[in-house]
Amino acid sequence: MKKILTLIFVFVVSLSSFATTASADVIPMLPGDFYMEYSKELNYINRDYITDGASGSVAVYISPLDYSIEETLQNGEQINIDYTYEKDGELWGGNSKGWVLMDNLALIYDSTQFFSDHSDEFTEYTGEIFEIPTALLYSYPNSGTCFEHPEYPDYLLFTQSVSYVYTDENGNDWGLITYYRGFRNYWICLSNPTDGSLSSGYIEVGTSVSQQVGEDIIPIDYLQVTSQSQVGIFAIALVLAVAILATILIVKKRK
Amino acid sequence: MWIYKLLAIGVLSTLATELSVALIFKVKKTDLYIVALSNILTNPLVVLLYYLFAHGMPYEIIIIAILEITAIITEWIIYKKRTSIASPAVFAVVANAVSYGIGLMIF
Repeated sequence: MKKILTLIFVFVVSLSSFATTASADVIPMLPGDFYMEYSKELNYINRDYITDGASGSVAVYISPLDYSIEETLQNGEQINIDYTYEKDGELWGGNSKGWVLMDNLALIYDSTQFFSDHSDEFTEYTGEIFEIPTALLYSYPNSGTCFEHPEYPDYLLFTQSVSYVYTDENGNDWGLITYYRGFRNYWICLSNPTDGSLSSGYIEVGTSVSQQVGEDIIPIDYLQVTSQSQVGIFAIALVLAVAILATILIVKKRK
Repeated sequence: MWIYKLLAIGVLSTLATELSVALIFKVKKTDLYIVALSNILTNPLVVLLYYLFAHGMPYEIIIIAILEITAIITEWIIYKKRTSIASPAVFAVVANAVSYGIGLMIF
């Protein structure tokens, strides 16, 4: 019995240490029935946005099917969107707090966007393999966000994980690390891996559709769904009772 | 509570309008009872169905048209079978048109 308990303990500890090392790569489950029912239709994106509603705030709904407002976020708050879901041409973004319409958010420029904007300038990495004991990893070349990360030679060298190279306007070569110990799509400056001054310190944020059109974007069927849910069963019963009564009286009345 | 308020305002304004039109059409006093009952039958149903299926939808106007035409046909059949109104179809159309116009002004 003691042996079994020890094995369970070791197994749990192993799992928790695995979760820590792979924390940057865990695909989250969201609370609520919507996630359970529609998880196969959701698109995992894991991208950061700034709330940017035209009225100064953004509504967080329970789900794309339930427009009860979970909370209202003031503009300027950074939120991470784990999943997107498309419904009737509207794009929704969800995380553990609830669901928002993506048109009310402004994208924080990131690796995915950089990839989309510059992928035609990438070349395959065929350069030499060398050790970099500690390197700065960037969201994208010259980006405002970067952090130090040690190299684990027993796992892989950074340069062994580089798939593509991008050369910036200053002539610096940047290597795209597609995957390294749980981290996906980070950039390393191959020309100078430890030079923190390459970071612009500027975080570029786009403009939401809501700001562009000058009004908050609400679900296209918002009025219909909310009025439907507020009509109530008693009102329906009352109207049917009145209709039946009126019909009986009409039928009874002779010409 | 808003739905009960809307149902009450809807049926009362419709009764006032369509009974006034009935008087203009010189509908007999004994038939006014049927005109009133017909509107008590159709109006709350139209309002309820509108809020259940059309309010705020892109195809709202089409649903309104279907609901109004159904109400007119229903009332026409009732007037034809249960009253001595000379032109039940014309009366049903005019009464509902006036009522709908006043409804637009109220809401």
